[in-house]
This record gives sequence, structure tokens and C-alpha cells, in this order.
Amino acid sequence: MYESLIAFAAMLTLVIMVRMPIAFAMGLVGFVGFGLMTSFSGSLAMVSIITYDTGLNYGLSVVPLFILMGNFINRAGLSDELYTAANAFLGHRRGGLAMATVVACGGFSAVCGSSIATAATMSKVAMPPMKKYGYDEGLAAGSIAAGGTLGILIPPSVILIIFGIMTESDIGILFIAGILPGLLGVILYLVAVLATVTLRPEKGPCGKRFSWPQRLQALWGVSGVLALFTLVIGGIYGGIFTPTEAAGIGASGAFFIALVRRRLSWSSLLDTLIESSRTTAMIFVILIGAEIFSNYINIAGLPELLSSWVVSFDLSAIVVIILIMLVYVILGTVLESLSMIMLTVPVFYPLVLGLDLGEYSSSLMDPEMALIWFGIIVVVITEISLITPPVGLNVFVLRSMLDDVKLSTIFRGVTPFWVVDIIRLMTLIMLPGLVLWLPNLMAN
Amino acid sequence: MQFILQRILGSIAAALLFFLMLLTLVDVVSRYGFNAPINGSFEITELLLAAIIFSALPLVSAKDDHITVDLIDSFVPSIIAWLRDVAIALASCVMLAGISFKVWNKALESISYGDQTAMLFLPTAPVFFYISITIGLTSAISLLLAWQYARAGLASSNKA
Repeated sequence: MYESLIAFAAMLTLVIMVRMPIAFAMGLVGFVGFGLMTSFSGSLAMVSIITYDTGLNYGLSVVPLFILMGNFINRAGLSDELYTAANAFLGHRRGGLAMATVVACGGFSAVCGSSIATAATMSKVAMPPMKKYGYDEGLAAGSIAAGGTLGILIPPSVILIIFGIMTESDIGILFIAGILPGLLGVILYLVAVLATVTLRPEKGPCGKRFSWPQRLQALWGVSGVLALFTLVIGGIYGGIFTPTEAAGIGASGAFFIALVRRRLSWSSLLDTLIESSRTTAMIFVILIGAEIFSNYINIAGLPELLSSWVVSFDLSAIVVIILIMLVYVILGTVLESLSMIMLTVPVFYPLVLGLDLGEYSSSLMDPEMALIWFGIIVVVITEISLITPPVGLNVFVLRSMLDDVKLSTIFRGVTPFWVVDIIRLMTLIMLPGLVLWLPNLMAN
Repeated sequence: MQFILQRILGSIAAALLFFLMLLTLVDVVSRYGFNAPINGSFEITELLLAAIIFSALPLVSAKDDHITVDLIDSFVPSIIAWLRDVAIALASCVMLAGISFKVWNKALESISYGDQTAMLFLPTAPVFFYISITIGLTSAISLLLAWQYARAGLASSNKA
């Protein structure tokens, strides 16, 4: 049993100290460990079977298709319209442009599954108007960096897909479970903007007021995004499409939107397709490595070891969850989001599945639903890590997009958003019913 | 040579991904619209997915784009950094070669058993051969990377 702990430490050493690609480190340690326990020829056979089986898995075709959808949406340049629409309704208020940024980020997240893409795209359209109206740089950049994190929670979400694949959870249910926590995120970010400008009104002056005809026109500009989100996520919610089918429809829809807006040439179409295939290959290599690794730690008995600790220390289920969250907070300060999920989920999910969370909250009675809830809080904590120093990835993205804003300014500006994120995380841990309400409605 | 290979593999991946997208769309539309689902679209999807991933894999390795954690990068002396890069590229080369070899055997096995998909009776061996070849290519690319890192490292340490 204890050798699985050594294997885990060896894997982390390879990843962090030797800078070996995560996929190869997990695969290598899994291969060697499995080989020592059985035989090396058997272990090589296991590795090769996992390699082609992962490639030939119907359910996993959801990955390239949702990535493609996000990339087409990016090409289509819809961020402009989203920002204009949000601005038309909110811009005239104090701090309104930052509020519009948050709402537009939420809207972009509803058709794109990546936080980095959301932050990078929105910074191009949201930063210039905020500068023009004399917004505080920290508030402006902070609202984009924080708003961008919504990309991985509001469906579609690449991280939720990966969590679903690794834990064999239903990706459709995970998506639906992400909606309310995502909306809560938007609302709390708006509160954060409001609090900032209430304390320091000069940080967010009022923008221009739009007339109602102008507002309706701006709303019309985002009808494509709204329609696509409704079709894709509504289709999953209503049980009309499987996630794979929804992904195919979403990618096709995004393709037609980009086509109609004349944003696609032959060469940019080819670029988008190749880029999506590359990203998919990158993710699959890690999935294969993680699968090999978790195969080994499962036969080596790591889940049993962790469970026996829980029993011997007489920990209640929710204490274990909180301890896991602390591990994520620590890892989140140094690891990038995708890596963190890939490295930890194979270890934690069998443990969570074995916990008796029903005594903590009756809505967690069903272990599969408990796993869905766990997935959502893991993603929320990952979002928080994206804006936490020293390695807040979204803050770095903003820094690279905005030449004249200092890193420390962005981290300072993001602080109020970080505070409300912690409040959101605690709310979701205390009220699992909030996460599972929509999925339960869907099941009935 | 490497550039041409990348163009070819990239174009294959792109064409297959576009086809996968349209296949899914047409399948859903014809099922709901005309009550006539495409027979065996499930199987085609699986074969397409494998072909897309393993076409793109050499492209990822060629740019050394695999996801890493570069946490302590700025503290590592350059001589250790380049030795490390060479070692990792060589290790990847060996691992990938092993997998490529095993999948090749699987392809041969698949021929001798005459393996076919359940609905469309498509032979599965070509896909296994394709997977084995592209993983083998990726292994060769890793070897090339190791060579490039070694040369660049030697050049820079000679200067210093």
C-alpha cells in the first residue's frame, strides 16, 4: 500500500523538479509501478491497450468538438457584441463598465469552455473603453481576469469534461450542475464591483447612457450566442442530445456563425481545425497518462490506504472534503489549472466516492451526485487558483495582453473578486442542494 | 522533410475533425428530422477520433508543447536544464517506441483474426497500423529533439 505513496511522490518529483511533461511522468510511474507488481511485459501491454482504447472511445469525442466550438466562437469575434450589449444596459452606472465586463465574460463562457481564452478575448474589447472613461487600472484588469475564470464553470467547460471522463461521471449532468454556481459567480462579481466603487467612487466613473432602441439593437447582436447556448445546453438539459451530439451541434453552429460573419477564410479555417486537433491531442496524451497512473495506484491500494486513514483518525466526511480543499488551495498557488485537476482527481475521487456524505447533507446521499457536487467545488477552487498569486494564470494572461499595467496592480485589483470567490466556495460547500438542484430537476 | 510531414498530418487531422463535426450534425438532424439515424455513425466516430488524436500527436511533440509544470525553471542552472531536456526527450523516445511496437503487434493480430466493427464490418487493422505509425513518428521526433537540445546545449556551453 505504501509503495503507492512513494509512486505518487516520484511522479510529483518528475513533474515539478525534473519538468517532465505531466503525461509522460504519470505514464512512466504507472508503467514501472505496474511492472514491479506484475511483469513488465504485462505492464507494456496494459499501457498500449489504454493508449488505443482511449483513442477509440466514442464518449471522448465530446472533447475535440467542444474545443472546436470554442475556437470557432473565438474566430467569430463575438466578444465585441457581448460587451456592447452588456454595456448598453449597465454602462451608465457607477462602475458600470466593469459590471458589463463581468456579464460579457459570463456570456462568453456560455459558448467557450476555456478561462484563458475568455480572459484573453475580453481584455481586447473591454479594456479600451474602461481606459477611455478613466477607470482604475486595477479594477479594470481585475474584472477581466476574474470574469474570465467563469469560462471553466459555466458550461460548456473543458475542465468539467475532463473531470467527467476521469471519474466516469455524466458530463451532461456536470454541465447542468455548473450553471447556478456560474450565475452565482456573476452576481457576486457584480457585488464586488459595486463594493469597490462604493468605497472609492473615483475608481469607476459612469459611462454613457444608451436609449432603449439602442439597447434592443445591442441585444439583437448577441442573439446568435444566446441561441447557440440555449440549443446546446437546453438540448442536454432536456435530454434531447447526448453531450457528444450537443458538442457536434455546438461546433457546427459556431462554424456557421463565424462563416456568416465572414470571419473564416480557407486558411483560418484550416488553422482553427489544426489548432483544435493539437489541443485535443495534448489533452488525450495526459488522459492516457493519468489512466495508466490511476490503474497502478488502484491496484497498489492507494484508495484503501487513504480510506483507512480517514477511519483511523475518525474523520467525518465533511472534514475530509475540507482537507481536500486545503490541498487544492496549496496546489493551486503553484500549479496550472489543467495540471492540478489531472494530477489530483485520480487520487481523490475514489476516496470521495467512499465517503458517507449522506450524513452531512441529505442531497449528497447518492454517491454519484456527491461526485458531481465534488466536481463543481473542485472547479470553483480551480477558478480561484487562476487569480491567486504567485501563479494566477489569468492574471498573467492579462499582464501579457496589457503592456503598461503592472502585475501587482492586477493582483490588487482582483482582490475584491477573490474575496467574493471564497464566499461562493463556502456557500457551495455549505449548500450542496444549490449545486444539485438543477441536475435533480433534470433527472425527474 | 519535417515541415512537409507536419503539413500532411495537420491537414489530415483538420479534414477528419471537420468531417466528425458534420457527421455528428447530420446524424442528429436526420434522426430527429427524418427519423433516419445514420447506421454505424457511432463506429465511424470512434475511428475518426483515434485518427484525429494520433495525427496531431506528432505535431504536439515536434513543438515540445506537452503540458509541463515550469515552477522552478528560473532557478535551474542552464547546464542542468539542457541535460534534463535531452534526458526527457530520450525517455519519451523510448516509451513511445515501446508503445508503437505493441500497437503494431495488435494490428497484426487484428489482421490474423480478421477483426471488424460490429455494424459496418470495417476492418480495424488499418486504424491500429495508423496509430502505431504516428506514435513511431512521434518517437522519432523526440529523438530529433534530443539531438537538437544536445547540440544547442553544447554550443551555448562552448561559448560560455
